[in-house]
Amino acid sequence: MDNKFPHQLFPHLYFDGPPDVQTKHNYGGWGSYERVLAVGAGLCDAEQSSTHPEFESQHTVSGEEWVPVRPAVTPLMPAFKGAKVTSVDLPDPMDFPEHMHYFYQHYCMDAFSTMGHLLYDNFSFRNKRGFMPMKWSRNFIKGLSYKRCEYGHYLKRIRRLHYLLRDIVSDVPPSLLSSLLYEELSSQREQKEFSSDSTGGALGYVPLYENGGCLVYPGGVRMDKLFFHSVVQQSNDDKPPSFVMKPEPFEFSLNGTIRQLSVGNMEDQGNVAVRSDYFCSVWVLGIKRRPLLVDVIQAKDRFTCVTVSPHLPNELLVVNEWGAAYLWDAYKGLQKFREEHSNLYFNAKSPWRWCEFSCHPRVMIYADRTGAELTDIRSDNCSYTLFRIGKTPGCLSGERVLLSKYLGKNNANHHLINTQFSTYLMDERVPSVPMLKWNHMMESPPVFACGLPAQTPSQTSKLLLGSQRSQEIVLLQYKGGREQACQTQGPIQRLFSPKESLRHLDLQLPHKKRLAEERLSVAITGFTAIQKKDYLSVFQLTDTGDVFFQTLKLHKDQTTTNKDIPEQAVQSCANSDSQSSQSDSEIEGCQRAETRDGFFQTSNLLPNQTQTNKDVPKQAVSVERTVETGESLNFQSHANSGGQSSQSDSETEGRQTLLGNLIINDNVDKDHLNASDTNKDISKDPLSRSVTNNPTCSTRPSTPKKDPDLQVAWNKWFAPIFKKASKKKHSHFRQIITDDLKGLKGKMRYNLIEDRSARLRRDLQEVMRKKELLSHGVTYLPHLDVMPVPEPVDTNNWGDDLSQRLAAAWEGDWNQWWEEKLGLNREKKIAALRRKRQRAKMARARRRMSLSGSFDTSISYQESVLGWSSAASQFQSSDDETLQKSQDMDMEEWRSRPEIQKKSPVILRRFLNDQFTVEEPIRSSPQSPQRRCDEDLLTSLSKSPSSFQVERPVSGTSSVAEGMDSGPRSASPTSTRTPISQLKRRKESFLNSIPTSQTFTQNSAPDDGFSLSQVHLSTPTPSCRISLSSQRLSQFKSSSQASKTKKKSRMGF
Amino acid sequence: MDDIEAELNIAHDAEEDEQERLQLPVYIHYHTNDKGVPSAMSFLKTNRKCLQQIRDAMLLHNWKEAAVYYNNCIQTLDAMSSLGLHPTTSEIVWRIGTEILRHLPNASAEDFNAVYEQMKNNGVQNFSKICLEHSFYLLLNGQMDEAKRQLSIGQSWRHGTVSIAQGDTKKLIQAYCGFLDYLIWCKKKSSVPVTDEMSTNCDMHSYFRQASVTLKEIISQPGIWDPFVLSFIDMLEFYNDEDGALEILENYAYNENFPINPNAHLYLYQFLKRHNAPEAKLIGSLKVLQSLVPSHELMLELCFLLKHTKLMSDLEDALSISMNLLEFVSWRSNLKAWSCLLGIVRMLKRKKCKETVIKEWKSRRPLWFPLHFRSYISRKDIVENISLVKLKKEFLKAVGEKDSPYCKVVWKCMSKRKTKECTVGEKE
Repeated sequence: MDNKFPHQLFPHLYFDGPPDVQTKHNYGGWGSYERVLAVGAGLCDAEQSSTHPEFESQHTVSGEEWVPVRPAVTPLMPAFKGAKVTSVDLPDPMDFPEHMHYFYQHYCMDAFSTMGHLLYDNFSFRNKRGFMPMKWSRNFIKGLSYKRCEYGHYLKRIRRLHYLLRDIVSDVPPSLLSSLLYEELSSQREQKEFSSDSTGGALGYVPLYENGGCLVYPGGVRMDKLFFHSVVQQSNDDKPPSFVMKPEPFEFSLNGTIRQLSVGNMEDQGNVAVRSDYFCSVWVLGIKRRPLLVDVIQAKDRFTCVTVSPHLPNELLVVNEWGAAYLWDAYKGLQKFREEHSNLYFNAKSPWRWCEFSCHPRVMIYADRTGAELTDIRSDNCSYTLFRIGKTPGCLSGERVLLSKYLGKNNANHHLINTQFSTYLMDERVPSVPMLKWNHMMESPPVFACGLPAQTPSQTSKLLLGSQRSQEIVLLQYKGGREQACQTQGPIQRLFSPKESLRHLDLQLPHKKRLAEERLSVAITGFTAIQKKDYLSVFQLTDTGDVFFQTLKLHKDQTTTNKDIPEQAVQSCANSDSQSSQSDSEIEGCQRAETRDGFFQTSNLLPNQTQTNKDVPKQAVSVERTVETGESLNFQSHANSGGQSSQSDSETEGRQTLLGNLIINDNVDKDHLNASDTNKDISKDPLSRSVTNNPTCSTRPSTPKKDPDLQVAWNKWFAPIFKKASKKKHSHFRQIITDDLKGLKGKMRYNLIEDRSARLRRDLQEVMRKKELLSHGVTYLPHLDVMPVPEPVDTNNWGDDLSQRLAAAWEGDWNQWWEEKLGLNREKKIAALRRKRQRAKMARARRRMSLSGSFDTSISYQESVLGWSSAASQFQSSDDETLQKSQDMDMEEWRSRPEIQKKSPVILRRFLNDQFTVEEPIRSSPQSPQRRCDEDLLTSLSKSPSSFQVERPVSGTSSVAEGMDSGPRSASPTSTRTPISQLKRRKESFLNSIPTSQTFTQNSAPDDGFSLSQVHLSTPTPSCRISLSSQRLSQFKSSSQASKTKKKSRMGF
Repeated sequence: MDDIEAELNIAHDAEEDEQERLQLPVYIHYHTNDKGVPSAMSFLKTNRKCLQQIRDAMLLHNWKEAAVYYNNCIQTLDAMSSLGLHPTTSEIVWRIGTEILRHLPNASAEDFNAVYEQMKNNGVQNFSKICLEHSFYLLLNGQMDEAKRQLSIGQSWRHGTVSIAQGDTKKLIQAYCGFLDYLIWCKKKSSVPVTDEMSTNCDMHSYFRQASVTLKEIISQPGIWDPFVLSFIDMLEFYNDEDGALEILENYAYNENFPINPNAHLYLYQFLKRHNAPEAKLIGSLKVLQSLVPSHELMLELCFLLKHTKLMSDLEDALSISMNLLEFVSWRSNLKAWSCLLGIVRMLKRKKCKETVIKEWKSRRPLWFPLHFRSYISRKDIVENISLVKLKKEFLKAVGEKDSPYCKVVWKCMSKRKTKECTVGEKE
């Protein structure tokens, strides 16, 4: 099966020479098809396929959807108490003066003792009288403070002494010390940023029997203890598997920090190899027997790699920094097969070497930072290039090999090569040309990798890459490599990392939170993954010896075709290592099924999707044009956004999470409302369900919210850490028992009420002084109970002529209705349409000059930016009239220059807007969407008081947007619209009744922005928008609302 | 009239759209300086944060969330590129935008086209790259003519000094142009009967000329050009230019500047076979492949050819080739390979050359015993593949290792099974 080679490869330019393309950005993994290939074209006998060629792209849009079962990683066992937590902050080499300062101050005997002794006799501060005043000595010492400007000081004597002695007074000359310190700090920084020691990862999983295995991991304070821990995987049919650790692991103390673990294939027994800096050891594992140490080797040079053979038992490869690679038979000894004192292709100044097995048991991969070579160990000097920086197309300058891995289980000929920018999938048979290339988009270099074979031929093979410092793990999927060329499946997915998990848990006290954060943000030292049927479990090991796991579930609505061969899936899972040896005929059959499946996937997709829409109503509907869905989306993003952006400002994040917890009841309430409403929507318009134009896309269940089991598991993990922390007695602090504080709650509320009434009084006085009105919205009074307005009568439900006529009469266009009915105004309509088409034609003609238009685009951007800044500055001056004028001018400009309207990026924005708003059957019920939006607005407003506290920063652009839309609309006849004045009045009354509170304004800006956008998205009438914007303006200037709405309405809406 | 009515409705729809795009920008976290005044620096900060949010949402596959962010900050991102602060922003915007659009459930083809068009003019540096991607998109959706048009737009576009990467894209655009010409040629060929006069389908020949010029140029550059080579050969064979085709294939396979590509050798071999080349030539071409890729499928065919030459040296070669093949993981339990080896061994035996077999076996014995005949493998083979066990046993017999542990284990298991079957049979 693996001996097949794809009949056609994707075209590739081949370039031999040092790469000179600089890396520009880290977004290269998206938005590209890379190459396409016509399936079956060019074959001399494939006549019929050439008439309608089918194309395939190298990067396909969708793959399997793996959805996390829980919102965060779960700890596998309680935290180890004695672990040493090192700070994750990188040392800055420019901090060397600080370090020198510390050294001189706290180690003065080491710094100055020699010279001090020499100078002791001749150096004294005594004056003629034999002593110096205290004040003098204090000033002298003050004057020595190195940070002060020495010339600025008045004591000449100090300056002279300094000139005289500064070079000799310290034992180590300061210039030397500083340069050494700088060097040391920068090397420490490098070491912390990226250390190649733990390349390969120090976590292994050996499957021993069907439902369990053995987790091998290092532990202890110095990570020098090796644990073999039995794990039982409990899996029910519908529940994700959970892992139960057997109580007593086998524990061995080793003589050095464990850097890497390599796990071989499991037959009757399997090998586990352990690498520490100067030792390597082999262990044998088997069912129902203790792990047994077989052999240990020691060397003078550090080992950089150990690999267990996938072909033969008890065979390993080891390499050391000296560049010597050995084949190591655990019972026979070492055999050196290669030695390189320099790097392979150019001088990369790195002693890192790596070795892997290949498809042939006597051909090895020998890799260093510059590339990888296949070496035949049976003969001398028989090696050829597998991968080489510069020779492989698409390399960037500065790119280096970080890891090479043999993916024997995925495909016997495939190798994985990781660099800091990309991941290459190489085929041994086509050296130097990657079968696949991903831009992995990881923040820190991936030094761990794990390959998972496809369980059935129709499924995808998976690759997982992990990094140390940023704790990232990404999942890549691909297909092919046998009869078809390799194709990636879907974009890269990032899995959860331990440091992200705190915000999905209950809030901890600040000092505990800090402890946990510190502990969780250490580097990762290894990971491993297990796939079982539809569940993928990933284990991560951190630098402190904690093991976390997360489980992902395959979301099936595309891969339902797999159901016909479940037995095979089970079988291949049970003995995945023996997969290659299945009988040939059967596998060929499967291969054929693969192509058929591929075809079915695309053709079956539409019905499948409607199916899922039914199953997951909430998710499916979130693309419709309703305010609730916007809200729910907003809510979700709020939950996620809390700390995704985390590093940059953790402070606001903290506040956000706090806020999220405070208003949690509110959210729950909203969710209920959403669910019921969206269900109603579905039943209302069945058409909207089938509007899925994008065939490659499918609905994806959202990641789950809080999970009680997760909290329990984490509490267990927290317990030892917090206990240890609490043991530190701070006896010199006075302890206050805070239990009584609970009783103070009532009092506090009372205070709050007091405060509120005081404020109200103050506001009233101010209002009276200004002779204005006080609306409920600006006070701090409790919310008013807002009664929802009863649903307006829907005249469309009455289909008969009489009712329609009456309805028309009621609205005052009875005359028009009759004309419409009798077809008297047909000519007029046709004329209008003609005019319209002509206009459209002209517009299209203009649009055609797209290139020249591009320059206009940039102008318009600048204008918008300028407009924004000018508006902002005016906005500061708090002068209503000037702001008004500038906005008017902007709008005038917009109207007078139609080509800007056309070319502006707003058009693109509109496309994306449209993505959220499925075209509803407007024709059948022209009034329904409007009314629904209207209602939704009302409910959302009453539900989320904070949504009105959002600052509106860019008043310039908003005015542009307003001006832009008013242009086309005023020209076009508006035929179906409810009476605006009525709506307006209703909304304003609600706006006034909205209670506002200052506490929300600062913190809730990001998430509330969403709800706001949704509100605007779904309000078709301009009047409403005006009222909203004026409302917001009133946040900045405490002037009256009423006057402003008047001004706005003067703008010609 | 009906038509007009329909148009009227469409007109309504368009109006609705216009209303929907009225959406005010939303800001994630609005950076300001100490005084609360927005500044250029804070603008950049906000921007960077927004980009980070989009990135995180996309990496976690929260496409809708990413779309909301993207939707609301595309303008500011664009501002960044137009101010020259971040020269690659336009590319980032393009990449992110298309990826998000691909994953939104209700994106239509028009949306894609419009976005590609917009992006092309947005950052002019990427014009040709986006043209290529756009044409790929169209090809995947079966719009070949439109794709061709896009490619020719990309081909005729020039901007500033041409960098290396840009040149590569140009080459690819040209190659795909030629490839599409070939596909059109195929269409014309199948629509016109072969017996027709040449003058009637001169259209087709003009496509051939176009395609052959561009394809020939791209094939002469080092690289992997499987689809292009195949299409070019197809056309040359149609016009009976076999020498030209052979020359191109030989260049593709044997030119040292090209990367090693097993397919190049495969195409050459297939071509030679199609045109009834002498056996020696076939063997020669396969032997070159054998030296490069000893685990290729065609090795079985090479062994077959070598067996038929009836030369002693060729038989020895065949023996070592087939034994080499079996050492690779992918062939280890392949029945065809084992029976091929067994056939060669038997043939050598028949020719009284047993010592060559024994000699070859002796050199490989230390590897082959643990590789093929260790106890775990024997048990696995018995469970999974009985016919393989038989072949292996035959082979061991042929090389005189009858008493090997493998045979013993197999014998034991077989006898056990037999007795079991007997007992089961008796019970029944």
